[in-house]
Amino acid sequence: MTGPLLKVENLTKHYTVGAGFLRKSVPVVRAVEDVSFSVEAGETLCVVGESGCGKSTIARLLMRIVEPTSGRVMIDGTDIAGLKKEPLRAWRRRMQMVFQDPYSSLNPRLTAEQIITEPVENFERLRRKQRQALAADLLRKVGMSPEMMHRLPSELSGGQRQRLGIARALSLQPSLIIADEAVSALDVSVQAQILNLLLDLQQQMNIAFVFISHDLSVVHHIGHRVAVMYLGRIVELAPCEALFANPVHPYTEALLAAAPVPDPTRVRLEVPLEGEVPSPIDPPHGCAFHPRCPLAIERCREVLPALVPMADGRVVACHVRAPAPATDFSGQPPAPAMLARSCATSTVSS
Amino acid sequence: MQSRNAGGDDVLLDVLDLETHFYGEDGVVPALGGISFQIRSGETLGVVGESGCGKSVTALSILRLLPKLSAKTVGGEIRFRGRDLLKLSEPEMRLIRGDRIAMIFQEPMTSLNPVHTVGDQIAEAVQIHTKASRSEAMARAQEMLRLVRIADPERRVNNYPYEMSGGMRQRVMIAMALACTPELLIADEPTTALDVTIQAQILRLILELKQRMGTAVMLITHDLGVVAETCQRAVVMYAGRIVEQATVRDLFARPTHPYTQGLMRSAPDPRRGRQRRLPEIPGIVPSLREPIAGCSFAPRCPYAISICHEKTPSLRDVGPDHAAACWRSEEVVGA
Amino acid sequence: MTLVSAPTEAVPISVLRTIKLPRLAKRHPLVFASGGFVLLLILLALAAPLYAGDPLNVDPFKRLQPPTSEFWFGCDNLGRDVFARTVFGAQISLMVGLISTATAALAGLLIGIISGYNRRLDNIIMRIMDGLMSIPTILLAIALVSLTRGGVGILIVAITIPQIPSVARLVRSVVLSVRERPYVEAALCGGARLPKVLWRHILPSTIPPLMVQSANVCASAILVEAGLSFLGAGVSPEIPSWGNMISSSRIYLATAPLTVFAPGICLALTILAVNLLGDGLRDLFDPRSKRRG
Repeated sequence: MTGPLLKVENLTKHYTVGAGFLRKSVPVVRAVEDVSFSVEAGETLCVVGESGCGKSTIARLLMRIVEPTSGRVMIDGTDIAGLKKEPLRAWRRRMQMVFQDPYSSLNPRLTAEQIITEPVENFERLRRKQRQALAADLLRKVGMSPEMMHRLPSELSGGQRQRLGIARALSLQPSLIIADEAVSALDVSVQAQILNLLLDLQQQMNIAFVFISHDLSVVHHIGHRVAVMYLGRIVELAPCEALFANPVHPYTEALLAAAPVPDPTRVRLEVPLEGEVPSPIDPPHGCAFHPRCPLAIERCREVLPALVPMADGRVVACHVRAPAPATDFSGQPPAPAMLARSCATSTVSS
Repeated sequence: MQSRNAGGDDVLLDVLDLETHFYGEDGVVPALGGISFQIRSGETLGVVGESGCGKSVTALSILRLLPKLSAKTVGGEIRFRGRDLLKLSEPEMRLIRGDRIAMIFQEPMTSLNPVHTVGDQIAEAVQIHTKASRSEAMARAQEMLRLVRIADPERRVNNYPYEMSGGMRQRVMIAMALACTPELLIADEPTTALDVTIQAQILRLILELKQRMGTAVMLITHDLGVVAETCQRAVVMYAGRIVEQATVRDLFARPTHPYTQGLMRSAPDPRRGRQRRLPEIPGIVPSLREPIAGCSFAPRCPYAISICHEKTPSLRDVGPDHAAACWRSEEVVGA
Repeated sequence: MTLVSAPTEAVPISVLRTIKLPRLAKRHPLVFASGGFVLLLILLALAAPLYAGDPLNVDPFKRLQPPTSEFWFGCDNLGRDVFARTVFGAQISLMVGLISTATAALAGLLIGIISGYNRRLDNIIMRIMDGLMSIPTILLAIALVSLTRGGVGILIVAITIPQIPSVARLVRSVVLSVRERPYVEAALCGGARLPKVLWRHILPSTIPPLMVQSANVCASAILVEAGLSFLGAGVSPEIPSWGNMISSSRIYLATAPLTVFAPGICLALTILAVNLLGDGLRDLFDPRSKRRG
């Protein structure tokens, strides 16, 4: 393969709220701000963060359900962010989505067969026989019995519905599936079934996933690399194991510490993160995390930290933990970075 | 049978063979098939299970808040400090609800009235149960908001629910529930709708206030992690029955019912490696519409033998303060 | 969440496909009775020539004659058969009601869908609808009738136009909410073209509320037609219609009450049945509004 399967560059989405006539100043929600990442074939990139961090907007931007304000989304080198309707339809075959809610993402009036074969029928005509064969094949792939094809969604369990959602995504044989909180609405035992299914499918068909989730244990389980988002920006992007073993960004650290662990013998030491996520309408100046950050220094309030590559292949946006090398910033004197490092050690030790 | 008085006599709530039925268009659904458990004063009891296992129905049955036309508690006793709540009249029940037993729900927005300020709502809850004057009640409301660590309570009492974030609304719910210092707080998935960092804050807050006020907590959740971190004892429910109950340490160290084991193993666990297949519980939760012969978990159970399909097991002691409803618990616990 | 009784999905149109009459009669007696009554009315009106006499035949000797075995409801001030006129009047009333309803429903559906799916057109269309809604029905009809030669066609147009905005608004609101549903987004992600999405995923959701609204529109169309005919702005006086009959016989209320009561009661019963049908359909489609017993 030459180059990554999916490459996202400087993706940005601003929403205007309460727009309408007779209104002059319109507040802007900065849902996604300057996000870049890439996904290799057969790889799982997880995007984690709390509600409002922009992770679901990324899924919708990738699928072009919403139009980006700026930035590029490239599949195999072709920018699909600029494509018109018809060429875009062709690219849909490469990239499919699995939705969060297995109830509302299936049309309650259609049978399982109609639901999972619809994407294919958007591109080619199927005869009755062909359609049924396709449906049976897809159902088998997701571990369901072909007899289920005549059922309505309301006659299926939550897990079975989510399998239908996955079968629908598989029907066009995509090389990338975007899963937006695909297991969040499911019970633990059903979640295990679906996670296993996703892992199997990835192995058999070399499908890449962009797996969006708020659940760190799930992310740890299936991710190859993880992007942590806070208020519309990626604050840390690292190989999965490295991230969980050694979180660098203070937000990543807090997120990992806050997740409950099913082990009553573990004694919790960390003080949970104080405060709440600020509004994306008026994000804090400088580093958006600084009002909640235990390590924040003066520079964090003023200068937005850039993503700095670290030795183990991760990138981190933090003045304290990952100060930018002086040469990377034109016009930025080296002194503050050095200062930041010394401050960091003193803050941590105190 | 299980020993009912293990661990002291200070029993706050004693639920005995509670049976609740739902009446749908297609017939009767036995949502609770006779469950028994106790909550002792000041302890935190976790109630764990997956959707439809009856954990919320249990809470609503205790408070007698079931939908009147479609559900009914048809049997059993709910002894609260020795009095059977099921035998109380509705006005007597109202005196207990909110005052001595309070409840918080998963989605705070739906349980707060959008057209009144949060201060008004807390004050009203106080006034219903005490003879406090309006200004005393408002003062109490402010005090409660400070207690649940809402910044700037003087200003926040005048806020409407929509002016607050999800985490803050849940704090308001807690303030309202604890305003009358109840003896039992029932929390039904109080953090499920919240982000992890907020969840950690809220759980910590509930535990802290519980300690300070001596309130017992019945924490209903689907998250084993939450149970492990916050509860002393836990009951595991499946298909309208309790399948296992134990101290939390014992439950995680020695899960004795195959369902509890399956539940624990099927959750992704950072300590057990990544990218591997998770052990699944095969099959799906049975529909309660059709009568189930024998153990309701038997069709999905790797240990099931013929007796499991014929006779329903009841809770048996398998250790000190540890009971499981399984015919083969001796074999299961060794696995 | 964890309650055992899972809420029924709202508005299942598959309900329509699987409806069985005895079941419907048992569970929704209101829909069954009122629907049956309306159907019966339509059949009686259509079959009028088979069993009723000539509604136009004038016989001065039978002026205001009380009911006999030949003339069940007696005769009016010109000696015409009141029974025959009532039955044939049903033809006009129901025809005007049904045709205007069908036209208003279709036009409203089309406008509503366009408006719900196209932001730019939406603003323009909705302002036009606001304008239409501000015209009083009766005035518009009188104006139209007096500007043209009159006739049933013009009457239908006059009654239909003011009904369109309410239907269009309803359809638009349904489209606006359904288009945000994940399954519609899923269809777009699957590469479906817009017309297919509209036809397959959005249109079916608009049908149940549209049927409910149509019943309301129909009732009001029949009423407006009667009102206009009563005022002399409707169908021409010799053609039997319930409004005409009440209008021309009202001065004989004391001497020959049946000449007014026969069309009046028919009108009232029809409106009642159509309204009940609308209410019943609403309960049928939306399980939440139904009182559970």
